[in-house]
Amino acid sequence: MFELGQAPEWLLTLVRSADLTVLWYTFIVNSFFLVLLVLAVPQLFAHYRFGSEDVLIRGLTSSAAPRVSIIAPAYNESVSIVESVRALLTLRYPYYEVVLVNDGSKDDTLQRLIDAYDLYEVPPAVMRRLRTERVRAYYRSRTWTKLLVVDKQNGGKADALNVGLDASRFPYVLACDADTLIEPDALLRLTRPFLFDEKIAAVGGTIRVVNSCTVSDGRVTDARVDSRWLPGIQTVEYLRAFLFGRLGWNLLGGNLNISGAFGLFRRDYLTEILGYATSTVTEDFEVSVRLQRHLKEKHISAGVTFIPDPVAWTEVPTTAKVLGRQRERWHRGLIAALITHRQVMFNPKYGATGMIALPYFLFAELLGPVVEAVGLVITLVGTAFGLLEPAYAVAFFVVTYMYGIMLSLAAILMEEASFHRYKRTSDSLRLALFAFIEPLGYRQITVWYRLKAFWRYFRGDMSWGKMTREGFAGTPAGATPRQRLTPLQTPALSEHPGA
Amino acid sequence: MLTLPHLQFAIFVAGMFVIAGCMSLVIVRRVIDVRRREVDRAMATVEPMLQEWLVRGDDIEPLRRMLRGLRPHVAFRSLARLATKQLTFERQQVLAAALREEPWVAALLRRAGSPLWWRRFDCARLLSIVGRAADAALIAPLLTDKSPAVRLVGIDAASRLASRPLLNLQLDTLPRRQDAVQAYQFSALTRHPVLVAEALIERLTLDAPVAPLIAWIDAAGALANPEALERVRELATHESPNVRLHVARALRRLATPETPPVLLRLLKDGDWRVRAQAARALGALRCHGAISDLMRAVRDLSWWVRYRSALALAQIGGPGRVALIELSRCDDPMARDMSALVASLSTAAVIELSEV
Repeated sequence: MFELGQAPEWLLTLVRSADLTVLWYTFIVNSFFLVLLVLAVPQLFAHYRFGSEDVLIRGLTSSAAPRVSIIAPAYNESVSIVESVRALLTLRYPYYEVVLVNDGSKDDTLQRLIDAYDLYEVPPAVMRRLRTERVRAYYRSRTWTKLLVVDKQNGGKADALNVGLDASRFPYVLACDADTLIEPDALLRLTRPFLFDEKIAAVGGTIRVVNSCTVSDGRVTDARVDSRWLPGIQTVEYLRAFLFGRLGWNLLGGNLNISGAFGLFRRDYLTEILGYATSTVTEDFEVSVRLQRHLKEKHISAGVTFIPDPVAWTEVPTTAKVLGRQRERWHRGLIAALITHRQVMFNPKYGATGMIALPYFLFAELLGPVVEAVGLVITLVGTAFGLLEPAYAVAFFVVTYMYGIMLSLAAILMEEASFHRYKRTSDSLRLALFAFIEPLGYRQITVWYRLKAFWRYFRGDMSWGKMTREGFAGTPAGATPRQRLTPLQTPALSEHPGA
Repeated sequence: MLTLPHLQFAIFVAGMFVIAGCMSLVIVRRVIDVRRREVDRAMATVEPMLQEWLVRGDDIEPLRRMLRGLRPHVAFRSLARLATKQLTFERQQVLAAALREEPWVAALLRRAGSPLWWRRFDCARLLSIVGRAADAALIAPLLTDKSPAVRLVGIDAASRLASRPLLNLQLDTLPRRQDAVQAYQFSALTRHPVLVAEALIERLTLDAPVAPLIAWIDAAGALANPEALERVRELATHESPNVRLHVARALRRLATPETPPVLLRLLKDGDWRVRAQAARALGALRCHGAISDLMRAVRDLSWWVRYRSALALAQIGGPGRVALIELSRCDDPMARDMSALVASLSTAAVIELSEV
């Protein structure tokens, strides 16, 4: 131990410089979030106005809505598969099909679908372009003509999405996730950019947290904020990530993260980049980066955009262990994607993707946990050993804490002023409370798991890790949440506009 | 160098922001709640009145008075939310005549030239409910507005009026629009079929530039007007394969004895896309005389031509289905697979697949 000022000069300089670097890093990253926030506000206002019911009805009742294939992979979803598919088949959208890919389920998922939807096998007249695990059979329904079920050998989510991509026939595909409840009008809202004369390669919608919400017939009927700290904090985290994080990126031109749970893609572009990568654990982020890269390399002036009002609900982890597995996997996927696409980084040829988005993911997302951990250790150790003034350490913590809270409160405020999904005042107060407690423990837990991702990545571990789920409030006991759901097996019309 | 006083100042500033954030949260929530309740209350009053007027159709005066008593933005929001849901075109005309001169409507419409897009957007929304022929000059700039949202609602406002200048403007800007917007315009244009058909017939000529010609052919197809489509049929000999492709696609809506021979010619076109669309059109027209040509087309080298031809045979029904069964036993493996696939589809599936 040293008395303050008694430690060797070099050690003092080292600790204080490191601490100052961490402080500046935190300040710069949070200030970047502030820029995203400022950029997001006018867009949020615009989308709030565009989302008016009368404007939405115009889209629904015209023939302008683009044709969409919803691809839903399913694995061992026997308990909930029938309801999940029904929810997808009853979306409020004029032209779409549902391609459900049974990814080699070991239970009776397929048989339940055959019985419930009167499926019959059709010959495999598919123009296959993607390399995937073997497809066993294609089924169509006598009761729902917009449903196609593909039965294949197990190969993981990305492989199932690729089979669905091959089997779908419409020019746009919506990949949806196992635990996602799509709001009835979400697809209609998601296709709005097409009506706005924009050239679009992919559109992402908002993911919200469904834990504690009341779900009836596959629809969220009462939105609540979970009172438990883990899902509650994640609700704030999702609001922040979607309402200003991704919205802000629209104007910067480098939207790199179209959620795998709810993202609409132009099918021909996805096929050109050979679909989803089966060797990654975050296929959604990787495919978004590869798509942006492809668009820039081929000089295609189509955008990747995010719009906030189409909503899909997902269940988030409720235990630190499962949360840890999820965050560790996400971070491992981020490391892999940044290494795979390192040529894009700081390469002006790739525009905002290369010069802003990927560097951001490198410095703010990838290195974030490293810097946070270093900052925490230096502050604690430095204070304990008398290398830092306690008042300085406390001030350091309070500044970063408040800046973070300020951003979370801004996200909650944006939610309240726009879509206002949580009707009860108690829910708003809970959100504010969780914004305050997020930096006190939760962040440190996620930092730990994200650090673990480096270790596991460099050991070559590419496993997903087991995710357990609780199911939705209002679903029958024992039912698991909606599965990786997801259409006649023909080439996409967009590839052959004349066809 | 960052010193402790600097950090203390930063804490003070950040703390102020956090307090301001918390206070804003409470205030915003309150303000929004009050505003939403006001609109909901207005909606609850306006809706039964509008329903009653829709059912009985006699006196619009109570509704007019009711709306006049509301604050302009509340009246507008109530009307906008209800009108697009429940009003037929004829009823909308009556409503427009009754409300157009209301002070609150006039006040909102004065914002048509506002530099703020959302005001122009609301103005376009209102004009799509209360617009009259005299409003053409107000609507025209909305059709070419720099905001795509304003343009989109402007299309709807324009479609409420039988105005030739607005129609010409829409048809002339049509080729510059993306597919989805074109499709939106087509469905809006169908409200005035005669006027649109006249304008299209003037434009559908062999010497018209290719890009706009394609958009106009598609418009004629969406309109399904026989006179316009007969003019489209004359374009089947156009030198551009893209034009022939769109001609083949549009002709599926023209069920006259002169159409099948044109489509049979297009079924032998050098471009596979034209052949595929010709097969599709022959199926849509249930053309029994085309069965042997379609059977040959099921052996085409192009997957799409085989697919569309097999679907066309299934659409034709009895003799077409027999032809498919015959083809499913033929020596050509590709034709055999395709015929077997389509022959196994239910009627509903054939109809749905043929439409897209």
